[in-house]
Amino acid sequence: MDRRKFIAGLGSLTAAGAAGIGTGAFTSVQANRGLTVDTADDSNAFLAIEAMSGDNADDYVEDGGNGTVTLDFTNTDSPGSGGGVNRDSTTIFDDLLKITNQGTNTVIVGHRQSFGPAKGALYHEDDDVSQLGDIAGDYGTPDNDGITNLDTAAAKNLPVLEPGESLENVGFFVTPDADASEDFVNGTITFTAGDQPSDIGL
Amino acid sequence: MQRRRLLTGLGALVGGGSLAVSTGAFSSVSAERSVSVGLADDAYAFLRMSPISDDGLGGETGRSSTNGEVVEFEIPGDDEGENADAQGVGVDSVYEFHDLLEISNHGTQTVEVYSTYGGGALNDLALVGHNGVLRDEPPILNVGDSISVGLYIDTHGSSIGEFDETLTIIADQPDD
Repeated sequence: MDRRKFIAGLGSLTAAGAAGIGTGAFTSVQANRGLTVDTADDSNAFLAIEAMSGDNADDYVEDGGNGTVTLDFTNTDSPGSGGGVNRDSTTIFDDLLKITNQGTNTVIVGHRQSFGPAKGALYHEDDDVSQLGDIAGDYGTPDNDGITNLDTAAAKNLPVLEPGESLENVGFFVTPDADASEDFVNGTITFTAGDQPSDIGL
Repeated sequence: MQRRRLLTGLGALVGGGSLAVSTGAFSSVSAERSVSVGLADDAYAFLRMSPISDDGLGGETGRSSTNGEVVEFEIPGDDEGENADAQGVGVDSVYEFHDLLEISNHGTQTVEVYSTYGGGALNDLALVGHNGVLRDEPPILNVGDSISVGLYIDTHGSSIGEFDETLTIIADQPDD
């Protein structure tokens, strides 16, 4: 009699084909949910990347297409008609870029770079920006300016931007070897901003 | 007597399951059985999903919301707390917006939670937690557990514009 009840129970489960949904168990749930997302050019994005105003920015910050900026030190626009940086020298380009936090939370800002064996990096000369920690002195760039390279900076050195705040006067220095080949820098710079040091890989 | 009972039971099973395996030949069986499925809003379902209030500039951002039935996302958010200067995520970028959605397990078994994206205007789209994207090693939710997740948006190769994308959120039995 007990056995018969058990079979009847199985039968009703199979018929319902419902695998006991009534009890709250589920095998899997798959739910499609919508996202409406806007993409924007660099100057209008949550982390805005723009050219400063001035001769250096005019000459070396170019339109990279699809709303992005690109840095091009292969020549000057005008006047001058220079064709590149000197070998075995350090060339410094001040006042190229401005980075603005257009999000809603305070972020730590830095960059990573990949361009082969060249010695060089972005840096900033923004005296007004606050930093993660109290620091003083030498950050290892030619002018002892603010370092933004996440691969060499300690977190406390990095600039911190509140919503609406900009990191201005971002520049670039480069030191080719005496035997560097032409166009030895051809790579990418990745700007990174995050709420916590762990959010930007520190 | 025992044997007869067993056969009766089997017969009922085959009929109910519509399996065409039988010694008594028949072309088709049509047997109506009732199925009861309760529909619940995301906030009350077995896999519960609720937008997390995201404080922006003097108010909520509206990056995650619910229409009363299902949750939805909008980047930038459509509430007054969003930064009005932000017209969108930059292209050739990876953005993470954390803590937009709370997912909790109100079923009766342990599940793992992850997401998939079938492609579209973005290079990648996924749920992201504080320990990374919910993909290769998805978090395990025991019954009653919850997790705070957000969106991972990869715009490499994307063009500039407004796009409606679909993110698939999955809760499944963990692989052994």
